[in-house]
Amino acid sequence: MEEHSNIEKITSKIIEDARKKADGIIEDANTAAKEKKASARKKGSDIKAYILDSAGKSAEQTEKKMISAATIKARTAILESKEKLILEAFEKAAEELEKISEGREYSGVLKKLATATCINIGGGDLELVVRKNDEDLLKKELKKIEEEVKKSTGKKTSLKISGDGKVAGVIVRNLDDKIEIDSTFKNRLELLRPELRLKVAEALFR
Amino acid sequence: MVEDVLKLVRKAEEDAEKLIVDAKNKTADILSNADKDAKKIIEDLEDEGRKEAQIIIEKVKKEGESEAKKIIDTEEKKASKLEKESRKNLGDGVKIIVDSVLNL
Repeated sequence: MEEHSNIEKITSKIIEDARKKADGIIEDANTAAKEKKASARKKGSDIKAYILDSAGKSAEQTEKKMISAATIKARTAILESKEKLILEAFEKAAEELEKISEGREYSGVLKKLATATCINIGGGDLELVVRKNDEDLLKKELKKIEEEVKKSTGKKTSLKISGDGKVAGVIVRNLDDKIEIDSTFKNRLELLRPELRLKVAEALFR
Repeated sequence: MVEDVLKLVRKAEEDAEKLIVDAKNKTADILSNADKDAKKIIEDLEDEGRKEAQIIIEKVKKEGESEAKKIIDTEEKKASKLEKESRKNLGDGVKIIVDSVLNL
């Protein structure tokens, strides 16, 4: 009976030891599994944080770009608005000049313009090219212009008129030097445009 | 009698061996499942990150659009006001041009 009990003790011990060892193996595995998951959580969290950080930076950049584009667009709107008015001023000025060229005071304007242009070219034998209809306006002033040019330039001046002009104003040609100054309204408007833009802008947006 | 004893001990040793083998097999399962779980944890967090990132991007985009609209609206109003007020000076601008062209 005692012998039987001893055998049972031995076998129980064998089983008990094995169970402990098995439990230890499983416990180690569970610990390793926990570590793997914890490590995965850490890695996952790092990846998530990286994604969110990148998204935040990218979103911030996008927002900055949108605001910058809007600011440029807004500035453009102001500039376009100013440009529109400046162009309108030039258009209205062209209309006004057209009216003047058809009005009563044009004779005086043409004389003054012709005189100034003849002086600028330096006097001499000059041809004044005007519109056909303007020939008579200038003819009666011709002598006075010649005198004024001579007085101003000190050079004997002789003027003749051509009615080949197409637009208001005058083109003065020096027949000797083959130099000409185009003082038509259209040309003066274009020549003066760059310097006038600033003055007009100052007047408009003061 | 001795044979019987040896048989019992051998049986116990076999059972013990089986316990160890089973435990090792279970360990392999535990670790394999842990690998799968770990992979899923990473994928889930990555997905979560992507979804949250999309929300952040959409939110900031909307804020940006709203802010941009506000800037444009404000400046367009300014432009409109500027045009309205400057239009009053149009006559002066025209006069400057006409006088210069006429050499007055």
